[in-house]
Amino acid sequence: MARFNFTPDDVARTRFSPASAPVAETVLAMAELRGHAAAHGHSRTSRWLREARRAFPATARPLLDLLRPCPPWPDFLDAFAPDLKEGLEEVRATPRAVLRSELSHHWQDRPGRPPTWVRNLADGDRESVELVVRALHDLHHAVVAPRWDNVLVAFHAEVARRMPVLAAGGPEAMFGTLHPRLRWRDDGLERTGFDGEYDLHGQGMVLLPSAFWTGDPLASVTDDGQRPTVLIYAAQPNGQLAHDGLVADPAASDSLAALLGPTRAAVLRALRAPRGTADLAATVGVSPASASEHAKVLRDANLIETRREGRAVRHSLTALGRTILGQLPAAGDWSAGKAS
Amino acid sequence: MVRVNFTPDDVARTRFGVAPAPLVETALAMVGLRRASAARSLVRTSSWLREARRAFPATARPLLDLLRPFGPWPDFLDSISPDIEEALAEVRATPRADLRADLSYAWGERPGRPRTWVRNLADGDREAVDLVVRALRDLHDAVVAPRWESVRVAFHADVARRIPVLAAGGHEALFGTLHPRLRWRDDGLDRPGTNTVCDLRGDGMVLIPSAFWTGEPLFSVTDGEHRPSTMLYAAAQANGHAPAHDGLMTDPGAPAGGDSLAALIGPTRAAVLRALREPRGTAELAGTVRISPASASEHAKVLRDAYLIETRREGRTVQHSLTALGRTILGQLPAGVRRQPHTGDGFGSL
Repeated sequence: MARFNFTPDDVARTRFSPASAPVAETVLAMAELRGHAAAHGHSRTSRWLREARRAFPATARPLLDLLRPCPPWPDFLDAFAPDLKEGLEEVRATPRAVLRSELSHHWQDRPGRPPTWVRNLADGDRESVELVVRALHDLHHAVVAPRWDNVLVAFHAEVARRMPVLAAGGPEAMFGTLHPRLRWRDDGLERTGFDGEYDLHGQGMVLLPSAFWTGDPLASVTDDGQRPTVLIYAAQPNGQLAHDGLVADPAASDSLAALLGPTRAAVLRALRAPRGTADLAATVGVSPASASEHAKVLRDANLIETRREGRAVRHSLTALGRTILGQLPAAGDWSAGKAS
Repeated sequence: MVRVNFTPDDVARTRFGVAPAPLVETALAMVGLRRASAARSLVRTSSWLREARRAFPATARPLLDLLRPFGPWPDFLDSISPDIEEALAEVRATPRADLRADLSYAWGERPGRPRTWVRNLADGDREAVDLVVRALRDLHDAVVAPRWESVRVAFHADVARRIPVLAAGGHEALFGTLHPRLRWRDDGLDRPGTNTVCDLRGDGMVLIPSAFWTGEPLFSVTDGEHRPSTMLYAAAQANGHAPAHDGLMTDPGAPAGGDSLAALIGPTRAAVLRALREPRGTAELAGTVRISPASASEHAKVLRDAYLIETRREGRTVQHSLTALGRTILGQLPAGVRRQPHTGDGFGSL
């Protein structure tokens, strides 16, 4: 059994990731592809897996050497930035010593010698690093990006689903419902299935529901407390694995447009950045009168709020609006709204 | 500085209350009335205060001796039960030793001797206890009950709006936004005030937004055996800019422009979503909303794709029900809540 020891500060800093992580989802999609290829007898295969196998780019083949069907995987692939470029930059910036120690650790219980390019990678060879970055980039574009809207919606629906449990029972109750292998006990989180004891260094734990991953919860820990420990688990936004609902046609799956109508959905999405009415109208491509009317409906529904700034007004998302759009609010959003 | 120390288990068990506490709201309404009376120069008085003063029942006057404007207040009035009768039963069942300890604490450095009836109360006299229970019930019925729908809506709206902060930033971020003078620091919670240190004992803390309270957060730290430790704070109004208190006289269910949910997603789809407050099959849903089964099925699909409802197969039929997100949207946009008339007298001489 693995145990994560929390201090009170660690629990108070335990939170959901603000968004899905494109590099991590790419790595997990690759792991799923490997896992299902390994399980030959698997009769029922998700539609995305069949599509992904067809779309798999040759340039992503180096990942076959790095990602075995089952964890552990080299930690330097754990990049959690919400933006692909930033995530790839994190991978690219991995220090040579880290590459070496992780790859040798990773290879030690595998039979045979690593291929030449992996040995070069362990030496910090720039070309080998670029090979990995390109493989992640191309696999992301071929397999993950076409489903990204679904990944985000599943992520936010998953977080929304956990919120009432978190509110009514605290983190203990929430951990108890995330996965059968997780349990809060005696000031810490226990995860059955592998061994180890980890401290969180006062950084808390970041929870990252994944749409692609279907296996047991995974933890990405750091020894030095440079970044918080990340707990990855399979998202189940409606009680079923998000994985099963991944399809490659985002146009057919714009559920927000289906719910609100395409223009109003566009207005809401445009307000991810606060805007005045004229700016909003121009961004969405509607008349100012129409933008104003849509803003009123969204405001009455508490999805946006409108502040007067001098002679103009400024519209911005409320917490509920962000939840529906799939964005968690920053704590700072509340500073203006405090009670006296 | 008031400081509350948490263990890791305490943070892991810190949660929001499930519903507002009518007895606590009654006591705090009383304190609000007393504070408003104490500050005679107050130019702007909430309309609920004016109405409450008119409605104040004579039988509630004993509370004037127990609830001073600026505390300390006796703990035995703190029941957070969501049911007023249950809460009053708890007050009635307060052990004599607790009555004595709470009253001597609440009396503190007050000059003079307590009145006879308060001394009797401290001795556990049943008549004195019944006097308090009656005072609380009558004040509740006259002042709090008529606004209960507002209190309930303020409670749930406040919680609904804070949960995303909790999810995105943890309890540290949540505490940082509950009140400007409240702060999470070094494994505990700090608030300015008379130097006091309390330790939670592993049972966590229940957070309760109050519609009647406008002051700094109030802690009640217990041994966790009979009653959980609580922190009560002023609920924010739906727009986040003012305490919910200011909205106590408004009709909370009527946002400008009428049915805002119908305006947002269309009247039929809004009706479908509302009908699913109770889980229903497609045929029943169609019958309830009075649309064809095909149309009900289509609306259910759109709502399901937006994660507002979920659909489970049960044998040969399916059952639709609200998701957490669906409940949040409905909770924030209640369909229409009526205000009740109220009458009374007695507060005028305060």
